[in-house]
Amino acid sequence: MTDLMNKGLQHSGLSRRTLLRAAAAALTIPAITKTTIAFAQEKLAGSGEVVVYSYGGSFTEGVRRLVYEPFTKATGIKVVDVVADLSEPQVKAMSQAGRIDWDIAYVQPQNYPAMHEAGTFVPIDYSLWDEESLAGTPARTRLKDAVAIFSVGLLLVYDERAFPKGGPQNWGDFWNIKAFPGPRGLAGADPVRNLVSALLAAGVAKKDIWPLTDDKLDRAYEKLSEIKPHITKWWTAGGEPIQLLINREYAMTNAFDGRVLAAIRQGAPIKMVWDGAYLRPNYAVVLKGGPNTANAQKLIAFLNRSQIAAGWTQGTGYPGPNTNQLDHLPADLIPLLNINPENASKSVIEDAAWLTTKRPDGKTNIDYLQERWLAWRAR
Amino acid sequence: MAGTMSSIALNGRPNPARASAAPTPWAWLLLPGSIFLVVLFVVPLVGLLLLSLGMPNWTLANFIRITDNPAYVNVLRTTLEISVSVTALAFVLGYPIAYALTTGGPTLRTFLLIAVVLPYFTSVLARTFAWVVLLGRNGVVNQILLELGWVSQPVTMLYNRFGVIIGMTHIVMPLMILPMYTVMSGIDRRLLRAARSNGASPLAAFLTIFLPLSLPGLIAGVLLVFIYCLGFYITPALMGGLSDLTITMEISAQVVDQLNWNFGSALSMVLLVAVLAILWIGSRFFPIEQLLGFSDGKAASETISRRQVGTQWLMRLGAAANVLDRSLPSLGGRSIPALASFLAVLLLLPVLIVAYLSFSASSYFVFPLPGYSLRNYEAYVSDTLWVRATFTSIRIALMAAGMATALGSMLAFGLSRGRIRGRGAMVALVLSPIIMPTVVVAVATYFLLVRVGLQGTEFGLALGHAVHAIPYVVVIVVANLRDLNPTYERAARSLGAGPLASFRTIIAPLVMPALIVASFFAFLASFDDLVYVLFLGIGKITTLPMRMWEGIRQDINPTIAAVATLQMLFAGVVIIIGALLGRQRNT
Repeated sequence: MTDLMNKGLQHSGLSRRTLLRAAAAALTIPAITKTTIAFAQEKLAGSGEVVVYSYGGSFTEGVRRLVYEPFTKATGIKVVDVVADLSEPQVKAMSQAGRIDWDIAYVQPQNYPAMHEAGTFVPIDYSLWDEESLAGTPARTRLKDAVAIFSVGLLLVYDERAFPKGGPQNWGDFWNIKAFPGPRGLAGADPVRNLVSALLAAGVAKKDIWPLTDDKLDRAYEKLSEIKPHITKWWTAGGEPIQLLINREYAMTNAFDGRVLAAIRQGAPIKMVWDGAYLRPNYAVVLKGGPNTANAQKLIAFLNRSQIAAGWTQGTGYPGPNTNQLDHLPADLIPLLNINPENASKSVIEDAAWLTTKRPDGKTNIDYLQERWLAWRAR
Repeated sequence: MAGTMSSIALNGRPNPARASAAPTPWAWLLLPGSIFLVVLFVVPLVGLLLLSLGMPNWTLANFIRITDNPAYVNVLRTTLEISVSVTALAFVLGYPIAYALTTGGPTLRTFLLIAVVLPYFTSVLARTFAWVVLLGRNGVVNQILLELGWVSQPVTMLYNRFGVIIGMTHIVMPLMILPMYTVMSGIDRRLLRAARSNGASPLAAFLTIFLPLSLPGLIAGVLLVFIYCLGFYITPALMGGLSDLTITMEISAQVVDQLNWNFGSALSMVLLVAVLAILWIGSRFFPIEQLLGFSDGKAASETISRRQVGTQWLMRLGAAANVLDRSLPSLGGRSIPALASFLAVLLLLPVLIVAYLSFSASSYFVFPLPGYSLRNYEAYVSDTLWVRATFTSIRIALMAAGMATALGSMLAFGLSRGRIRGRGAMVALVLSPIIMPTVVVAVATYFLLVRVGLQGTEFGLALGHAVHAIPYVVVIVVANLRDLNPTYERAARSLGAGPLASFRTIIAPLVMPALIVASFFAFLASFDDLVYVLFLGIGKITTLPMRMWEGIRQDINPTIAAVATLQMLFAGVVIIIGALLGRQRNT
């Protein structure tokens, strides 16, 4: 966190107000911990452990430091991380085998309906939540048996060094090779977000993106075929686009906001473009039949408190849904986050309901998109 | 050579057909390994394959879907194209190195071994980045080409087919070279001298004597590399071009991202059948089994007529080579070591760049380094998670290598010596664990382990790894058993040595190099794994490759360069100590 502030100060040019704000933000953390201890002793205290899925790497380190440690201090419940690339395959395997070894998992919206219908999750106990947490969290992020744990933005970013006179400002510019020359990158495994970018570049308004009808898909693929010769490579792993920007293999690409944020904090010459960013929530779920279900409910209630949510955001770069956390975040960090209302208003929000709808042939829309993408890409 | 031996032996015997009917006692050695593979591989996999047929609502929909979309056939073809190219390139580059390893002095041998083995020990990201440094748009090679004025624009060498092939070939070299090396070092070099003294030119002697005798190792290497290539999915994703999708990438996406396991297993079935069919067709043209050294129970006359044709062919080849050799300039026998050393330097280049990058003061991979520092090493040593992951990986790999080496070498002896029916099917069974994409096998194995409560335990994970490592052990040991003349053992036995004593004094010393190489690969098969651990470890076990992969997904962090460098240092030290010990024994 100190790293972040130092960088922030360098960038914003050390105004007195930022300095004061940053100092105030730094001071709030211990004070908050104290108040939450007092509260937790009434409501969330417990014993034993809770087994929680995590992504590993700096994500897990950040969450451990700013969320789990305060949680254990406040409630006496230990947090055990289980680490995997993605949690859904493991959740599916555990449910099929009938032996649930985890308590909390994270599930992407596209996988949620099937698992929900299969009765994999227990309802979230919102009675454990603070008034403030409920008030700050939009109702659409609080499902009966799942709650948004954080939101990921996939957005256009560019190498400042490649565009000294100002870089691209939207997906239209990404497609504008003349005005903004240079090698490009896009995520290779995820068709939906690339298709949406292509449609935005083709002039489709944000509100008209969903559903991705066949005529829109044709238009999107036409656009993608147009840009394909300028794509150096499809990136796969989240850290890859950043590295390729730094090595000048890319001049611009899409990338995950949390990864870009971490790079900017470390001084990488990368700029974010929020216009046309694609936002996707990730759900936290409590697994039915898990070893410590009660403790899992307590951890979920705890981490949605605005102060703790702010800690989560600072530790991971991916903000949770409680908008009250904005009061607890350093001012120079907010412009880089997808929970910033200004950024959110420029973004496209995923329509998971449409993506998971079954088509007449029994495939879901997402399956269909995936296959069409594969056919286009393998050509 | 054993092929020669056994066919001579068969020729001398009145009714060779009798031998193929009754299983010899050797066949019993097949039992433990077969049970292990059936329980831990066949049973779980059958369950998953039933899923691909839609059990309990039987359907062919998953297979129809594959034929419906031409993309899947395209992807399968791309996979095979890449695998064949890499195998061919690895063979062309690997053979001279293996030859120089066998014929060179101890210093050259140690250097070559290090160059061949080290690339295997670099993490995939660090290695990929080293390739960017070398071959990227602003890479070293392009700088040199531009400087020399040979090109006016940077040449695209990465993110296309060329990039994948280079990246993959770099990694598979040990798998190609070491099996060839173990077989080549068993070749009696006096045969070459005999040929030379009878007037054969060096090239003719090589082509008619050395090359045919090295065939088992060559076939073992080609077989292993080809199959190993089918399973690549991270390197093609990181280094490949826009349409370089491999079937394993797609299967992995179906299992992990789409959660469509039925379709994923259907795709794997198609892959398995395609590969086994290719091997079967291959075995019609090349007697793979015989060349690998399985004593054959076929009618002797057929073998002999084929041998006569082969011999005639070899003689003609030798004569042609004699003529050719006279017109070639001589380098005084230095050309092969020089070529091998040059190739070894090429293999080492990316590795050296990784080592250089590990001393970076930057928190990203940048070249050239903005400043030197030991921060990456400090980050590794001071982080208990890294250190714990290292020890976990070593423990699991040792368990897996132990099981795989014991069971695999028994299988190898059984397959090679025991005359049983249906050996083709046995060979297919033994090879299948590495043909099937690991992600599918891992899911299947999870369902088995969870029944006995072994999920999330190191032993359970080692069991999974052992299944995956057994094929390597079998192929490498079998290739070397070919040269193990059974008459030595018979001689020992007839002089009164018990089975154990003859094993200890005759067999063990002769196959020891093969066992060492085999267990080395078994160790690496486990130590390198990134897929089994996800399912069998249920998130509770963190291994070193997992930590490194997190590093790619979550951060781009040069700490992995330091970890890779330490691994390479360790491997290098082991090789040098081995070489020194070997020298001591010889003097």
